[in-house]
Amino acid sequence: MSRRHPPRLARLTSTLTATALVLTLAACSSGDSGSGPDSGAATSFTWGVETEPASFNPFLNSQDAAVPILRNLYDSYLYLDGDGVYHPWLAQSYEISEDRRTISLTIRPGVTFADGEPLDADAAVLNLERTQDPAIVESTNWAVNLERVEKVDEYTFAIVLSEPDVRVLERLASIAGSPISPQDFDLGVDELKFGVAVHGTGPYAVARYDKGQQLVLQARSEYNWAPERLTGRNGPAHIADLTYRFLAEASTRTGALAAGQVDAIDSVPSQDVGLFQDASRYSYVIEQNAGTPYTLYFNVSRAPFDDVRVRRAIQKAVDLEQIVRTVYNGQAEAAKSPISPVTPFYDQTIESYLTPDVELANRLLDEAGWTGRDAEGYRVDDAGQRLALPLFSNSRFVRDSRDILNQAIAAAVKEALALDYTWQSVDSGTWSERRESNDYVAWDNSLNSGDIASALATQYSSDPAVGFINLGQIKDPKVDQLLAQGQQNYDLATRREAYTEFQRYVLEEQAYVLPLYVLRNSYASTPEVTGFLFDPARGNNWGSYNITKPA
Amino acid sequence: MVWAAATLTFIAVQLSPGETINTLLGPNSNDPVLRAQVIQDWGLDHPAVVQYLLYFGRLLRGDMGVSYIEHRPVSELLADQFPATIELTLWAAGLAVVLAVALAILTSRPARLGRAVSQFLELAVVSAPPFWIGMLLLAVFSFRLGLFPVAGTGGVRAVVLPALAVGLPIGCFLAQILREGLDRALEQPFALTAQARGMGLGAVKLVHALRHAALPALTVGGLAVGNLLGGAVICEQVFGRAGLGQLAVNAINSKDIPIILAIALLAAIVFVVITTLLDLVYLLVDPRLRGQSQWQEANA
Repeated sequence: MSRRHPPRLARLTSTLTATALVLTLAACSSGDSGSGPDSGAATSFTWGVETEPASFNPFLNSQDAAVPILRNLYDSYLYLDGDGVYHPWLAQSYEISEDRRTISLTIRPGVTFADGEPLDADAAVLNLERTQDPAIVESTNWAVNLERVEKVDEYTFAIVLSEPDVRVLERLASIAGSPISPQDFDLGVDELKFGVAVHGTGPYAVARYDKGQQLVLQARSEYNWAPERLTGRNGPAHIADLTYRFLAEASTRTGALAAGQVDAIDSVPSQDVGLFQDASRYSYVIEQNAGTPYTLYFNVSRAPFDDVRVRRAIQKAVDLEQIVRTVYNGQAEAAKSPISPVTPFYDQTIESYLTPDVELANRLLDEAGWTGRDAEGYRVDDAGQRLALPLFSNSRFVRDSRDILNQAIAAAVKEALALDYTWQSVDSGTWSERRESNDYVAWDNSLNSGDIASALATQYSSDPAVGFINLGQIKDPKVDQLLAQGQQNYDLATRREAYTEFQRYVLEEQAYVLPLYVLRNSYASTPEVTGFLFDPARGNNWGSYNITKPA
Repeated sequence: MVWAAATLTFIAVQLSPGETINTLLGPNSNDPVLRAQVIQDWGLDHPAVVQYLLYFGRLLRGDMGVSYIEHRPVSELLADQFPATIELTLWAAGLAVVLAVALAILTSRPARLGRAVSQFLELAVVSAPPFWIGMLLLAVFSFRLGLFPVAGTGGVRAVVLPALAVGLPIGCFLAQILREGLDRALEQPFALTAQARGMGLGAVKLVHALRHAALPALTVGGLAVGNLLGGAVICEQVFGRAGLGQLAVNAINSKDIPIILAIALLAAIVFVVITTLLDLVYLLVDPRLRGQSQWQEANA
């Protein structure tokens, strides 16, 4: 089965104006950047970013914040667009066999790594084989159905699967599946994992790294294999010297941009947004992330959330729209589905389900047997047992005002349902102890991913070898079947059917989760900076390849 | 003492809740293949006592291990971050000393008004959180006046604001101690004698009284400088600087035991060095200590 897809059509699913702004920016940048930078353009550019990557190795990319930096260094075989379609990139073409179990890719000739080594079938096969070794990768999940990788000719290789798995395509389109120079596998394991010395095929190479301070990149003049569908052009990056300054403190970033000491910053705190909304002085962009939103997963393996009525009562008790608007100053959107609105296969029709209905919520709790009230006014059952919901989160992941959000939800639930619902942040050691003894009623998480298949598999699959973080402990054959349908098919219609039903079933019928808000990245820069690229599949910034700025 | 510090740290890390393996694996901690691999890589299957002995065995051979999270040798990470910390510490300490001496001399008696104003400002600076002082300095001198760069790399100019942010509170604190010492020294008969010989008050303070006042300030100051090594975290964050503080905080958050132990060792060594140096400086400053043995004999 040969796969040649028509060009992507503009898709306007989100109602957020910020998303429209991003699309406009992307359109502008691809329109005016067909040729190289003009002579009046700056050759250096400095970012002030919040997070310093713990590793620069593409295989260890669990930090979402590292992706926009690493995209400058590493390319992928395929490019995943915002509709869920996989397009050729470093692989100039690819074919999937009739039984969907063999994927053959032909590499574009002339691609080189930053150390000068060519990317050919040998290099590709070596990379795919070595990245199944748990000693050097973060997860071998993508390869569970991988039987073997074989070289066909100098530039063609084939991936043979034991059963069809779209996550292999996702791997080929993601940073984690990016090829590195064959020479780099001779580095020591620690040096390889740290990754500053690793060479990718990307438009930049590492020139200098000062831990705790900055990463300096140098554009590669020979680069000519950009994903044109996204970039609208090819050739070297516009900016020759690209610097990422690590400025962990938000006010330092905003101050540095205001003072002109950096050209752009990321992670603009909601409270500083007012500063940057003067369009004549700054451009300010919010991008919504794909994958699963920040979501509360009810622990359905134990009381009281083993009862669907209690789960639904919580879903219906709070006006999240209003809480999210207040907590995030209008800079974030309440989530209304188990998957993010910018993800392909998002189903708009279920958005109305989460409309609050406090009366219904109270009735559900009454039906579930929590009819009495104790001395403090909290709901109890016939035996006088209080319905206590002590929620807690791992403090390592409590960021982006999630503490305030969770406290606001707790207060709202308490008021609407007379429930003893509390939230606190605990250290990661305590958290993992309680997790291991199943001593938690719910857990919170968000997962950004390119293809929704992998994010859903790790959070919903009942197979412990796949659902690593299925901490809602959902063991539901129907969920597994829908996940399999979405994962083992490559055609969009079959996948859409699976994920549409998945969203309805998980959110409405079983009330397994309470989606809270859609993750987003924010950027601010001076207005003359253009060419921010947006990764339509992941919903975050795509490297700095197209960025230009007048000198 | 160094060994005791490292041992205590080791015990504390072992006692803190949660298994190291879970922290190491992060979100993938249920991946059985990966779990086995990591446990084997780091020797986490051994009992704590064996891990302890293995660790000290390696340490005696000069091997501090490899960071769990960063995958780099700990010695390399420390060598990377230590110079930035030393640089900041020396600048801040120098600044604190100059500031303390100047303030104490100018505002010790009989300067009444200056003293009141200075005491008020010192108290304000000592009580203010350091990150706030840092932000204030940045806002005024970097963002508004553009005199200094905001972050990390520009040589001496880049260290001025962080050194101020760290050094100001210490300097003000020392000034309070030093001034009190000066005041007490000036009440002594020798101060009056010196003035009677025709020496100016300023000269008396500088030549005679300061020496007397210096001892308690030295003790406190020495410990404060020792604290700087780990205490500059917030400053590192605000100014986007490299340094040990940030390394330590990240390591503690992620239970990166090799780094935690190495930093505890380093801190212990620094304290030993500082207290030794202080002992030597006491001898320089106070001649009475030099003659201690004679003095004891005389008393016997």
